[in-house]
Amino acid sequence: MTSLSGLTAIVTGAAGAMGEQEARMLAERGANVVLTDVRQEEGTAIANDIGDAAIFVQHDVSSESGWNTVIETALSTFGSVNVLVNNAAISKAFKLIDTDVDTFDLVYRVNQLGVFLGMKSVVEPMKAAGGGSIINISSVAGLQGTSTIFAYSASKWAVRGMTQSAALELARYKIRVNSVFPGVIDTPMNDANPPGMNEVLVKTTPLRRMGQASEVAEAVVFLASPQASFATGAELAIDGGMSI
Amino acid sequence: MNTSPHHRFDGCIALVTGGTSGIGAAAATQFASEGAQVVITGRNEARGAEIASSHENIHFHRVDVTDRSAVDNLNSHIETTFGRLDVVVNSAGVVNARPFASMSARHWQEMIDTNLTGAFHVAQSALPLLRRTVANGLAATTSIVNVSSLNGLRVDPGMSAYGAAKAALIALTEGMAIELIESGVRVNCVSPGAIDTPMSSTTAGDEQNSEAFTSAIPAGRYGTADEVAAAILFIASQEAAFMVGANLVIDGGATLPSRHPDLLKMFNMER
Repeated sequence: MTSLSGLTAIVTGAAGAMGEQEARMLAERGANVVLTDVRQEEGTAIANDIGDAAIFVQHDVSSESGWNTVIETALSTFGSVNVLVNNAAISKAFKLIDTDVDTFDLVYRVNQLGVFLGMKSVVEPMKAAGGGSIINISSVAGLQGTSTIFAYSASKWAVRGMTQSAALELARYKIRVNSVFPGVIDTPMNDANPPGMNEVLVKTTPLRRMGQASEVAEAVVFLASPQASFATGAELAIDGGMSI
Repeated sequence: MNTSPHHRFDGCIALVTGGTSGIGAAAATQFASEGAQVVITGRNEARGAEIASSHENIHFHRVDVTDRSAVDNLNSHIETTFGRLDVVVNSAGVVNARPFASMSARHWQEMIDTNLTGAFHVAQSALPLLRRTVANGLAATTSIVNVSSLNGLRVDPGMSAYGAAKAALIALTEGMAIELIESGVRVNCVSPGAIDTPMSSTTAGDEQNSEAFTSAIPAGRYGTADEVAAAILFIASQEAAFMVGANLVIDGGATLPSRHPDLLKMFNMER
């Protein structure tokens, strides 16, 4: 028996490289997984590939009614909600002086509002289940200032702050809330970076390489599992030493 | 606990200081049940023999981590016996509450020596063997896990010497991490909060004191040694291969609140 057997997890942004790995690994360790993403075709294909333990729901994390659909689907399909991985995020590489209001608002809606709505949506089903585990994916840009991804960094600091407040508020329901801070991970999200930036990012990572999406997924699975039962409000950097 | 899904440490050698009780003993037991040969150290011979007799993979050596030559002898022994070393867990520690104004220099020195300098001796002494294990292709990375404390982040009254040692251990973790990663040695740290172990028996064992502690922990209870050990094993395993210089807090949320009163309670708001 694996450690997540009998649990149901929701993973947002599951059509992306990191979300896909998280969903696959949660399923591998025995969980049922609800994958959500705005990208229907890719998300459905991944859920089908995982098999009976997975279902895909098309979902914009910044939509409250969308969250209701996700929760209803999770409950009607698998019977409970025990784990939420707020993984969905977008990155726009602009400096402060080049960031317009629409860009800032878009990044805010996906990266911050989406995490807030996700946490709020799972409270009742997790209370009903006697507890749960929420894992919010922040970023190394939520631990340090950055000079090139202003709106993204702001939203990731917000994720960090929301995690701490939610952990405090929800501990009495045995809902644990923790955050993971990936450094530079080898995913297509880096393709949006300006030329030369990825090389610099690897050079400033003490481990001198990008992380793999599976290495972030391992941390997510650990925090989701009963083995992390006394961890709440924890901040786990998976960054090859970048934030030291 | 032993709900771990896999055997992550088959063929590995782990050294766990302070392995004769509490978090160290729990970690040693979990490493052993996941396939590692585990060398534990401690100062209490009877406790060491007891833990060692609980699992055939656990081997006890009476070593005081503040004694460098004893630590060097232990590492030589590990090298000749096993030929490799994959994991070092620095969990040897002592804690006593003392007011700053009246603490003896001896108390200060004991807190610093055991909680901080011991980790320095053990890690530096084990380093050549940890590096060789990587260089010889026996492991992708080797790992040092330092056990700091909640008091390394937030210091409570009476804990100035202990907190100073544990905060320094976090800084030491970061400094070691950034220097040693080039040779494939990952250094990270865990910071446990209030854990129900022999070290916390003066509070956990007393109903009134225990209640005062649990009411200050959002999770509403002490943690268990097994819960901290599970974090140590995760960090030490190849699952955490991209974790370098991190600090994993296992405290039931105790570091989250400010010292302000509970606002929801104050304004009668339902949770």
